[in-house]
Amino acid sequence: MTANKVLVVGGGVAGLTAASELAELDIDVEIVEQSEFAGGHAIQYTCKATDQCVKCGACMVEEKLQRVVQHPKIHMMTGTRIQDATRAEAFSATLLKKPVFIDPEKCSNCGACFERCPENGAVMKGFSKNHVPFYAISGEKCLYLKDRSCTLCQEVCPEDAIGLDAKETTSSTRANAVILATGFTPFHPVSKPYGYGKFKNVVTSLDMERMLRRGGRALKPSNAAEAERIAFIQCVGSRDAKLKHLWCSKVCCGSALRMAGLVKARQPETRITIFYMDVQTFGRDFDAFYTNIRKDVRMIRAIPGDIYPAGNDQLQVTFLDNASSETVQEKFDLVVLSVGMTPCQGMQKTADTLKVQLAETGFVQHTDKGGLTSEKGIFAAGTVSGPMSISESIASGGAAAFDVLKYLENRVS
Amino acid sequence: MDAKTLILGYSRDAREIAEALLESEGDVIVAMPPNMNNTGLFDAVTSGGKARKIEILPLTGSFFCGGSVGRFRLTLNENDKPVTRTVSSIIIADDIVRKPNFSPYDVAASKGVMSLSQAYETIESGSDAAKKMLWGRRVVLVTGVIGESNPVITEEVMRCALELHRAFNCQTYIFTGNLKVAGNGLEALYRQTKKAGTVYMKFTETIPDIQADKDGRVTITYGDEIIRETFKLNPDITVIDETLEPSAFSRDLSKMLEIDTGPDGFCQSDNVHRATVFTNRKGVFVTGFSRNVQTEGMRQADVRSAALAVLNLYKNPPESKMGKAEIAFTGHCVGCLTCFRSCPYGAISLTPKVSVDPLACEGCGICAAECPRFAIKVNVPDGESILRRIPKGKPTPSKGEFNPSITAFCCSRSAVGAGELASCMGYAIPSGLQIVQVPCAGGISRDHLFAAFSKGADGVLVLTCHNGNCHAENGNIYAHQRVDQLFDMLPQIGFEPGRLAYKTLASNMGTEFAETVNAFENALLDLGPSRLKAT
Repeated sequence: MTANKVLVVGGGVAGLTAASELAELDIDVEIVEQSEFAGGHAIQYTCKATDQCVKCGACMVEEKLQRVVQHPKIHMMTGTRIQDATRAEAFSATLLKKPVFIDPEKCSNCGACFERCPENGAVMKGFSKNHVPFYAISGEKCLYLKDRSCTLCQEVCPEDAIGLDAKETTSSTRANAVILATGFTPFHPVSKPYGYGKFKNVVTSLDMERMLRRGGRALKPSNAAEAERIAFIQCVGSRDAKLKHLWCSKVCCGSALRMAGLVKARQPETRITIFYMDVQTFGRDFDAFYTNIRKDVRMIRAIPGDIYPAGNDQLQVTFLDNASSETVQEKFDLVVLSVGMTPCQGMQKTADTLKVQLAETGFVQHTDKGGLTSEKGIFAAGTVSGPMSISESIASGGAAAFDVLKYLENRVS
Repeated sequence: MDAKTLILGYSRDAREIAEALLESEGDVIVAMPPNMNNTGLFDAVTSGGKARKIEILPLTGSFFCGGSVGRFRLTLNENDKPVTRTVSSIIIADDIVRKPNFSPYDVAASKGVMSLSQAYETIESGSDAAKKMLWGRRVVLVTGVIGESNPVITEEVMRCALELHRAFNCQTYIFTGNLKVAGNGLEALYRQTKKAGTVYMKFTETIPDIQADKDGRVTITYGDEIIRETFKLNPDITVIDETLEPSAFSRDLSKMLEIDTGPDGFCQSDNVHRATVFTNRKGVFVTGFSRNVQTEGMRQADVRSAALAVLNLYKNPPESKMGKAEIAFTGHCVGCLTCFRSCPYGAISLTPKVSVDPLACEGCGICAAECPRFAIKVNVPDGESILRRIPKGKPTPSKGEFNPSITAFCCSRSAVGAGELASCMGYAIPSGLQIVQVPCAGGISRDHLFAAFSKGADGVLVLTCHNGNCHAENGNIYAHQRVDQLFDMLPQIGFEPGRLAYKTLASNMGTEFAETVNAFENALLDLGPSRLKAT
């Protein structure tokens, strides 16, 4: 058998799963991940266990990433995207890698760069111990890269690991098959009347995941005080005909209810309300979980109209109360918008480069055989073809690996 | 390892996995559940060129399936003669059982009340009688009003409504609690049914009352929760949804093969480490409707994941996970079978004598820690046994500040990672903390905990996985019990119970790891040095 190589585009949980499954079967894999930190959105998610695991799957992402970084058959390139691809017998792709400002060999994760950087967001912190180095410099936010006005991080680094003059590099690669696992882009809720981006204490579910992951507690971003009254608003950007988002994002009910349970366990005085349309089933003991959580969390079957600041650092949420059939206004300290999944940003361009058809929704078109795309030799894994949970993404990654395997075998014979 | 797999079940999954494996590698045996008629599901597979590689074996009469990875054995009686087959792996892939939810709604099947399956049968029969029965009727479909539905059933209900409109000119209503649209294309399908004319009634606080008179005429009395008024509806046909349950065959197999089941009785424990087709038994995989209620997309993904898992097993036959280690039984064994009962992986075999199958063993060490006779030794090279790796406590300075020495037993799957993450995140970690990595906290014995104290730890931590997240299923519970037992004993030997603590963590909980070890250090600062150190 000739040496096969598979290119996995996207280093989220689906791509990582597919990569390690193929590597186990002795196939060389190259993963191209656009962001500095592999693991996709889900590597940033918080464990939602109280004492009892609630099967959110966040820890599985960590495990998949660990397997990938340890596997000798897998080569991972972070901060890299496909610039161009052509196809003859095999795929040839030109890869564009962002400048590597922090030398992973030298960096000791001391965090001095992060501490001293004057510009918010210019030095980014990783989420996993497998993010090596644990810090990265943002090409968009760094002041030196804007106008050469600051070199503080470079100066304070005790390991001499930072070089702000690093340049982006191109390389080329060849592969016999491609797995498209570029994931989703969370809905950006600025178009909704909830004041996201305007009011500091309106956050997205992903912001909330990160907040709990990093600090463990539900705080108001405005002053870092503990939030006493929290509202979750479901279906923001999902099940929305106006936006032409005719899909349920599948994971938001599970994420919101599990996070609510975690916050209640850690901050028992918090009062939590969840505004919803239909609570979706998640997990295998959903009935029991849902019965239990309703003792701690108030469920209101209504989607709020709008949000205004209410003084005292609170937010006023307006909604239709079914019990009284009247419009009600209530004050909250923190509002969490459960943002849906939308097709990966730049999906159309990627699709054009690889000649893959997209569905009307903007996700990769499903074929009857699941993982196959419209283009031979290109396979889809994970949320690139529509919303999936972590466990579904793992299943999808495994399935894509099998399809690739069959494809490679048939190609040889 | 022989490339031979046994597929247990008679279902679409079973056929698709057989096809996938026959196209790839190895031989396949399909065992049909007892009392199952061969409906020709496998005809296309068995008639092709691959026929010599597949055997269809009906399980008539008594049968037994045992053994472990690499050499599972199926034994059955055929005309009073025992027939055996040996395979290296097993896939459980049976069909689902549908149970109509008549009783929760307190109704019975009648002329006007039918189950979802009966509705489909009637629609699909295409008979004149069916047409007469359905044409132009008013139909109420009930799903998830009492108890929660799921996307699989919800899709069937919506498609049923759509078909009743399209082919039979019916007026349809869907009565539901939470409409389960978390499946591919279901929100779009929901819109489609509404466009076709289906009226949805959603219930949050109230439950519609469904009454049938003796002629089967149904009256539904319900409250509209938005306009707050009560209505009566007289449907010609009321369709009640169904609960999907594992088959009796799947249930029997989980017992026979010692597979942990989930809260719903499906043949896979509800543990993220089993994602997607794995079980607590190495070499036993479970797919589709044997492991969960699955949407079509996930069912197909399972088929391929299972085939992949088998190919992986052929390619990488399991060596003993202990690597250089092995578990040995000493002469102290009295055959009490505690090890057999406590092994989460079914790796202890009883014949010809109690022993561990090294291939099936995952090396958690629970058997050795649980053995009341200390008859099981985990043999590893010098320096690698847990006991030998327990460090000496850091000495207490004769002058100056007390710096507590902490020995933390950390599960390799959770707390070790959490500790590494805490360091990456830049948290201050007590300088007296020393970590002992263990494959599973269930393997921590009382000896280990005592040894940590006697070697000079001022405090001992056991940090392990959350309940329900242990790869060995109950390893953390064993560890918790052990710590609790020691709590009771510590005061008797002059130790404060506060010198021992147990906590569950996940590998991504760096912050919580730091909080835990720092809080523990503070507690020890209050307690002062261990009495073994006081001179």
